[in-house]
Formats: sequence, C-alpha cells, structure tokens
Amino acid sequence: MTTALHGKDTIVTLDGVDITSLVNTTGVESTVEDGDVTTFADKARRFIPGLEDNGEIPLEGPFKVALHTQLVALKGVAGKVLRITAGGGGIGMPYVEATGFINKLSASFDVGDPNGISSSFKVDGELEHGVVEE
Amino acid sequence: MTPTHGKTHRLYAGGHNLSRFFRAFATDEQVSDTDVTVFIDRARRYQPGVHEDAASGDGITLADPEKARDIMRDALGDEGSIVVSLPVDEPGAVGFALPAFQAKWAMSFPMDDVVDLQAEWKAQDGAMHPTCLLDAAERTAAVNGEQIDLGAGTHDVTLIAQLLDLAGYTGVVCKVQHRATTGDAWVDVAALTTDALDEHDHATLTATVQRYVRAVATPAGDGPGTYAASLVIATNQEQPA
Repeated sequence: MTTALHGKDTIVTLDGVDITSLVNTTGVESTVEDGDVTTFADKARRFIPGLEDNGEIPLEGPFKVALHTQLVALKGVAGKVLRITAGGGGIGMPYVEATGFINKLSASFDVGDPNGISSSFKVDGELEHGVVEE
Repeated sequence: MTPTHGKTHRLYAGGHNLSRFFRAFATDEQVSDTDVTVFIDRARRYQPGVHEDAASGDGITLADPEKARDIMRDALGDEGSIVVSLPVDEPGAVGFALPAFQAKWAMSFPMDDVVDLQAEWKAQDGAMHPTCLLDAAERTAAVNGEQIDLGAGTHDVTLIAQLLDLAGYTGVVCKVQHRATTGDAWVDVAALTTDALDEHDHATLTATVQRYVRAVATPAGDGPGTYAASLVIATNQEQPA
C-alpha cells in the first residue's frame, strides 16, 4: 500500500545549499502549450501539443538573513539548480530538479506581522523527475 | 536563526526616521526573462535580463499632517538621499536601500479615518543590500561600532550615513575604519569620513575597504547633548552579465 507524502517532510536545496529550514512554501507547475489547429472542417476546437513551459517555482518563508543573503546573491544569475525532494529525502523518495535563475525577490514588513520573503525561480528548460537513489 | 517581526522594522531616508509614519513596507526586486527557445528545445528556455527594483510603503500621520508632509518632502525630495530599510536596527542586520528622490508619495484625508501616507520608489541602477554598522540609538558621547566582516579580500563599498536627531551638540562626524585582519590596528578610511552632519543631514560615500570594518560616530561641540545616527554599508556589485 502506498503511503501519501506530507508536505512538512519536503527538502529544498538551491545552488547546492539546503534551504529547507528557511522556506515554508514551494511548488511546481508544468504546462504544455497548446497550438490551435482548428479548421473550417472541425466542429470543435482542435489542439496539438507545443512546448513545455515550467514557469516559476515559488520560494517563500519568514524573513531570515541567510535566505535573504543567498537569494540576493543568486538573483539574475543563470544556471542555478533548485531541487525539491518529498517525503524526507530517503531512498526511493521522489524529487523534482530545475535549472534556472531567481527572477523575483520581495520582502514584506508589516508592523503587525512577522517579516516575510517571497521569491520565484524561473525555470529554464525541462524539469528532471527522479527518485533518490543514495 | 530567529525570524524577525515587522514591529522591529526601521525606515530611514534623507536624515529622517520615517518609522514614525510608516507601518508597512515591501520591496520588489525583479529580473526580466528573455526567451531564447530554439527549434531543438522541448521546453521553453530563458535567460536573465534587466533588473528592476522597487519598493512601496503605507503609513499614517501623527497629529500634525502638515509636519509629516514637510518631512516627506525633505526626506524624499533630495536627489542625494537614500531610503534605508532594516528588518531590525542592529549591527550586522542586512537591509534594502534605494534612491529616495525617485519616490512618489501621497497623503489622503478620509473623513472617517486617520490621514494616511503611501509611497512608491523605483531604483535606477538596482537596489543595494546594506549591512547595519551603527544602529540609531540615542547616544550622549562618541561611539565605536561593532566589527563587521565583509568577507575575504577588499571590497568596493557605499556608506550611507544619516543623522536622525541632534540636540546640544553642533554636529556629528561619522566615519568608517577598516583592517585586513583582526590583529591589525583600526585605520580610518578617509573617503568614508563625513563632515560634521547637522540634524537631518545625510551623506553617501564610496571607497574600497579591507575585510573588517566598523563605524565611528563623534559628536562635535562642547555638549552635553544627544544624537541618533544610522550608518549602513553596502558592497557594490555589478549586475550579473
């Protein structure tokens, strides 16, 4: 019987640095573009698959200097690797790996709330899906 | 590492403590993406483009909206002044800074609520991320700030000094000292030494420094008196190619 994986066991590494203790929100959304090939002969819309677009991966958490410093240093630098591993990262646990760059970084300060950091990682190219082997 | 709460956030600009008026502040740093996808790709390919950095703030005025307006004009209208945002005003804290003169600000006067402020800033060449050298606590005498480690090697830096309050003294001289190792004596950085700042004066200076730096603030005049000065230092980095 397969056990569901809880989000609290997610492991996140960015540019080789474990930032699991610094973020509390992330996720991946992959889209395949569609090309409309409908012609006069069709009674319904016809589509063919186009390019895959893996969008932007959010990285959010409470404002901590370590995360802010790392994101500032990586902002706009291409070729960085972001890896999200589910289920605590043990052998057999699934991961998603993306190459890209930090394209957005925001910090919020409100007198009544903890400070927060919100950033996004722009994915360049395909995602790699795998399972932890060692 | 402890997360910080908004109640400790401080906002200084043009020699004024805007923390008296603002209650929310948000930074927004963006890098445009350039689509470089070609036929052989199976997924969209992107490269980083131009940086665009901005910030916004919301606040309220105190009992004297006219004074708040005058402060906002003075703080945000001077071409040389820089807005400094610190999550907590203590040495070593890393914040956010961008030119204040590019601010757009407004006050509104609702019939059934307090007079409020909104401000927006845009950076010309990218925001800075300075480190606090000296917090703006009220002091009565000269002070040497804590040692800050900028990392190995030498660094091109920008010092932002703001004298927020002054009483009794005729001014305050702010400077940075540096040394290559913790065993060396501290040496003044002449290019990072201000003139005697008057209340609500500010200075932005640049120089190359050694690994370790500290701030020194020295009041001028016989005193007794008090002063509050904020000093932050940013490492100058070019935008990545």
